[in-house]
Amino acid sequence: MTIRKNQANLTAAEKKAFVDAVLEVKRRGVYDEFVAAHRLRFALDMNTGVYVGHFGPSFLPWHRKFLIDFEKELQKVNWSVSIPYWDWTADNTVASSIWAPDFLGGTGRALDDQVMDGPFAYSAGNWPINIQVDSRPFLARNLAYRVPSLPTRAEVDAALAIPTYDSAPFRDGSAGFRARLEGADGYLSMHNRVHSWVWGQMESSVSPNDPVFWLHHAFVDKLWVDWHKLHPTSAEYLPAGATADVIDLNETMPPWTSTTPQNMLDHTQFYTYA
Amino acid sequence: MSRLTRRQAVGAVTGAAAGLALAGVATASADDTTPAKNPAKNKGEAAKPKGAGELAPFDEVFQGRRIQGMPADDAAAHAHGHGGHTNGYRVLIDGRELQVMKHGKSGWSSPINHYVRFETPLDAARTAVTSLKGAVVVPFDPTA
Repeated sequence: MTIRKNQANLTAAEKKAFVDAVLEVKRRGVYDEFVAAHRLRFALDMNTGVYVGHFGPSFLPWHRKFLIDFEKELQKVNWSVSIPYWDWTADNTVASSIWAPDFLGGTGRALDDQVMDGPFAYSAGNWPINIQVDSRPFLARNLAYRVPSLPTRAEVDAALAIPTYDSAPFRDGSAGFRARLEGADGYLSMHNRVHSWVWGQMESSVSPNDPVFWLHHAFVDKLWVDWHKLHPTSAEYLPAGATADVIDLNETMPPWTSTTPQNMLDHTQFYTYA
Repeated sequence: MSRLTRRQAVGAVTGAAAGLALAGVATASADDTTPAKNPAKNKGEAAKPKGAGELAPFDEVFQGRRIQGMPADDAAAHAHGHGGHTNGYRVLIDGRELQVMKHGKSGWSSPINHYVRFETPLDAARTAVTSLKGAVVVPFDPTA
């Protein structure tokens, strides 16, 4: 059974196992397929205005499936590995251990935002950026540059208190838990703000190039789980059906050919959160 | 701050940036504006053209990079046959296309800054320049 843990509680051995598995998935060429899938999804969403991966209700189940698929690839390398989650309300500074050289490495240098330490530094040779929207071949970050702070626990709690998953028109500014958590009802907030706080590739459509993407989205996913526990009688996903240009509960989420939001509602068949 | 800006611009050339950035750097040396750490300027709030509207064309040097924006019809003459989605407006950074998309009332975005919305394409272009630190845009067109 896959148990996702708070990254702050990982042992040194667990951190190393995760990093090693990520590096091996990268070496196999599979990692970049995930980056490319994210870039393609984002571009298609933007071009068509049908928001599948972002800015719509399927943001949460789409990323849940994306993480499950990635976690499976990690586990092909090492069955004991799971995706840790990063509680950015608690570990919310550039000095947090998540950015230490024994885990994800730190912020980039001033010159070009290039990450210079840790296993994903360009100089280490294992982390070329191949799937791009700009010419930087290295992992880039500028922590706390664009926005000085990460979302607070109070902001998270306020989002969790919203009893409705999502509402019409099921887009950027919709009222409800999903848009509030995504940060799409006021930009530079919540999930979106975390991407901007990290900067570099995390701010772009190739954000999975930064391994922190997975830890960030595991926490976002955990908050969906937490929200459902707080509102057990609320529909865990909306809309239920017949909504044009929106992924309904039983509609397939591309690029998958048979995965619907409904298929994603019971996460415990795939993993649990410690 | 202006010295720091210049150093960053020079660093961009010695670092990963292609020669395309070079032309802009010469301009940056004579340009004491746009310190990278000024969030207001990064967001384009300091020098927003007044009353011109979000679709007004622009052509300026920002942090050493030439950024141009134009309604897509005008842009067709510059596009060298690029058949991608234009969304009614085209933005170039040192001659390379930065795809910008309008999302209803929530504003504009680009692939470089995908998790935010901008009031105007000019804001999107300036923030992309700040992100790139001398790197060049690599257009990605899923329909190509």
